[in-house]
Amino acid sequence: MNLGEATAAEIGRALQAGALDAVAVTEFFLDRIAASDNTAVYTAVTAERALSEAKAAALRLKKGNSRGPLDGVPISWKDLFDMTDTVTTCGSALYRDNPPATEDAAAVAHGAAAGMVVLGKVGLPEFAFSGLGLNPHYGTPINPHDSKTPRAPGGSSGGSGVSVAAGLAPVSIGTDTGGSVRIPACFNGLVGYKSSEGHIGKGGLAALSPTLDTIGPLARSVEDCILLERVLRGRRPTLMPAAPLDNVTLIVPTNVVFDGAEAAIVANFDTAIEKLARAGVRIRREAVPVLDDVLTLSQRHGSLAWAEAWHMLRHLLEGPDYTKMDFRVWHDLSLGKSMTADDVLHVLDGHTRMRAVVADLLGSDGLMVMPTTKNTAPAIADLEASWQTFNINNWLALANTNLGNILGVCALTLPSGTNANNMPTGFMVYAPGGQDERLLAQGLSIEAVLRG
Amino acid sequence: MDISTLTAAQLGRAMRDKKLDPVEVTEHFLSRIAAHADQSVFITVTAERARQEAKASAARYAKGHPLGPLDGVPVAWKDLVDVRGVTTTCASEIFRTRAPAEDDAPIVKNCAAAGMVVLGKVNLTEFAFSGLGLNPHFGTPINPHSTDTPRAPGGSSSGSAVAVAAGLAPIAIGTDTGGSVRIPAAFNGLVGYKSSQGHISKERVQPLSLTLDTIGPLGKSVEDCVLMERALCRQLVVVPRPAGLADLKLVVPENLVFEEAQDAVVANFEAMLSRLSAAGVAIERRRFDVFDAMLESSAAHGTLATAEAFYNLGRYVDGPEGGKIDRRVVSRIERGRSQTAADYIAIMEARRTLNRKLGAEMEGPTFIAMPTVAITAPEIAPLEADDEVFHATNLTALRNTMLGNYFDLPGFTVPSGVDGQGLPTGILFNAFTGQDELLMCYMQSMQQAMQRN
Repeated sequence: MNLGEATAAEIGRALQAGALDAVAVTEFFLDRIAASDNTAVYTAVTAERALSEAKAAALRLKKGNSRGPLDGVPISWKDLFDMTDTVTTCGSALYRDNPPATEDAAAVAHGAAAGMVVLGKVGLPEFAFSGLGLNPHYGTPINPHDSKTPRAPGGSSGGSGVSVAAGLAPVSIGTDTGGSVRIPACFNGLVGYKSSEGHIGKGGLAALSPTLDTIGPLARSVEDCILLERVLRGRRPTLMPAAPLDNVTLIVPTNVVFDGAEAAIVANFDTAIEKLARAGVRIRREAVPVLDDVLTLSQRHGSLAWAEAWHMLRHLLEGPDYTKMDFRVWHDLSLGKSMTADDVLHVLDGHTRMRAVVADLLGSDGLMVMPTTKNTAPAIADLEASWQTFNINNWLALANTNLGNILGVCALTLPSGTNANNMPTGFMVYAPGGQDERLLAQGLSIEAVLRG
Repeated sequence: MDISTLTAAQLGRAMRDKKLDPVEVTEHFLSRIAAHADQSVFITVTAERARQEAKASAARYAKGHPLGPLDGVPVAWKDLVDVRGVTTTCASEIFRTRAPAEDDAPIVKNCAAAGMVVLGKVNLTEFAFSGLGLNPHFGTPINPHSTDTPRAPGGSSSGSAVAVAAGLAPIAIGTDTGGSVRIPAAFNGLVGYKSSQGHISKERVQPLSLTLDTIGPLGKSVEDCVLMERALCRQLVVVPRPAGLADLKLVVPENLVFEEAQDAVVANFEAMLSRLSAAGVAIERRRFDVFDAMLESSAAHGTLATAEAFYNLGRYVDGPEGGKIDRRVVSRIERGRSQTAADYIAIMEARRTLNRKLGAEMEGPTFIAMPTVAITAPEIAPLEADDEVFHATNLTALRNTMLGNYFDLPGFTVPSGVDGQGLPTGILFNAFTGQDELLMCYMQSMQQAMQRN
């Protein structure tokens, strides 16, 4: 087995079968991390903890009292999660010298309880507030899909995306407030799962938008996402059967979601739709007016993420050290400053209304599908050279994913192919908020069709 | 039998026992409304509907299957609740002639399903945004307890309270965003119940603050308010059973709630506590730091009520008829205009945190007791003469009750006595969020204990 390309579930099965040794697996990843010239992926490598957890897992597996199918499987965590004895940097220079966390975040503790081995913490754009993944303070993880031109990892869980795609971890946990799990998953050719609001506990997670922040894995398979969904909720990691797609209707919006999208992305999306149609899935291409409503609402009243992020971070954004922040992030985080209470109330009311529309439209057997991003990973040099290029690409990356956060959905992104530069493209699936179980069960079947 | 002095429950029992007829009862109230000197209490009298409903009720009683203990009992609705075919004016000039409501609000339907008779729609502070009950467009209902000079009815459910106190309806429904059920109930010597958020449907009720608005009855007894809560929730089957008082604890705040309180208000409050104590209720007195924290949040960020009121009503202030809105109401709505998104989020965050903190301080059956309002009904003339006096008096009136809205506490105000001029005072009991049933169970026993001498 090539550990650098194996899924978490595959590694777990080999460990259970005694075909692999947990310590050897962890050493493999630690060695690869140490040897990698992609040095900005990890902000902290917790080698000591990893080895001690791996040894404990190996002992359990030997004695036959394993903690389940992910016992001994390594994992990396976005550097927004508290982890005992490490500084939660949030990718900000302002937090570099903060005291280390005194305990694990709830999700990290759940991972450890399932026997997973903490490799370390991975990078993100400052305060997770961008869809491209650039970080001037800790460096930008390089997208491994282009060996010649350094390209963006996607964000904000860029370190998570690259750590998996580059074989520096079998799976990684990110957070998603506007697309931050799904964009880096898409840019790196991975599967990403954004959970519904409130589905996974956020204790010990540095908040950006307490309402919209969600937690989710970036992985090589839907199976891994399912197992991790269980683990993150503190449940036993068991797989559900793949749900048949006979009664599923896929709604492909004809408005909004293709506006400005790269041709290869649309072509790969259409190929995926054709495969699904051939597999007997009902496809409905139609205008979905609520998507226009999302845009109108945002134009008129701004976004809840802006307002909440401004509230959370204004002491820094208006503080004496604000010039030590990435200017692009500082600018975008300040968008909430001019919002009024009246704006927030309009936004909240809009969320309630629009989420009800989506629940009605999709019911219990409908899914909405669209390209995950409208661009593929752009060259880092171009983004660094021009704020305008950065902004345009940031929006192309976030446009479709952010719809999902506002509409309160749970979502999966699956690889749909690559463009002419060999850069991955994504196929995104939305289910109404709270229908995570259905999304994941049907996601298994959709993944099988797209891979077939 | 003097129909107009009976409680809703007594009316229901009299009709069940065939001592009264629903049509007779409704006609009695319709005549009293028509003959009442102060014509500002009702904005619309729905005589035709009332007669039809009374007749249908009579037929049910005749056949021996009334719809419950309130079948045939008339009820008055605050005029921001939709009643089919009637304009919901919100007691605002700008809504006086707008199109009638197309349907009953669910709470109106629920009461109809309990057999109740809609007498009509009663007056309020314009858009329900103040605690004194003054209204320049539809007139200010005069507090029937006034002797020397016209006194304020309390608000915003001014018409609801005066309708019951003056014997124009046995019971009435109000809404409470900062005290709008409890203040007029206290000023008029009535029982008033403010529900927890989400306990009673607010669909088709004009919102002031979606977070703080609640629905509640104003009646002559705890029993009436309990029966009415059942009807409003369409839950007539199970009536909460009165609870023994031995394990109950009342906590009296030492800070905030007695500031500027009139002597009679405090004396009557203490007299009620003594009776409850004699009945076995434990009384504890202490500071509530969460009240101070609430005031700090309001000082820094403004209030939730103004932010949400601007969201709901700013469009009318900015509309072509904005100039027709009561200036005192406008000035309160305007405070929300300048509140920022960060203010709003900070307020909501503080509110959540402080609510949790308070909850931890209210373990077991524990209610917070305080005077409902620190003052008795003020004279109307000085309030009309000086806006500063109006705003200061308004804030004093609202100060204790608004705690219940901020912390989302269900509350009951019951009469505690009168002052030297015969003006009623009230005592308010607050339970923790969602403990409406628990509060109702104890309130029935507590009212008995407080009535004993």
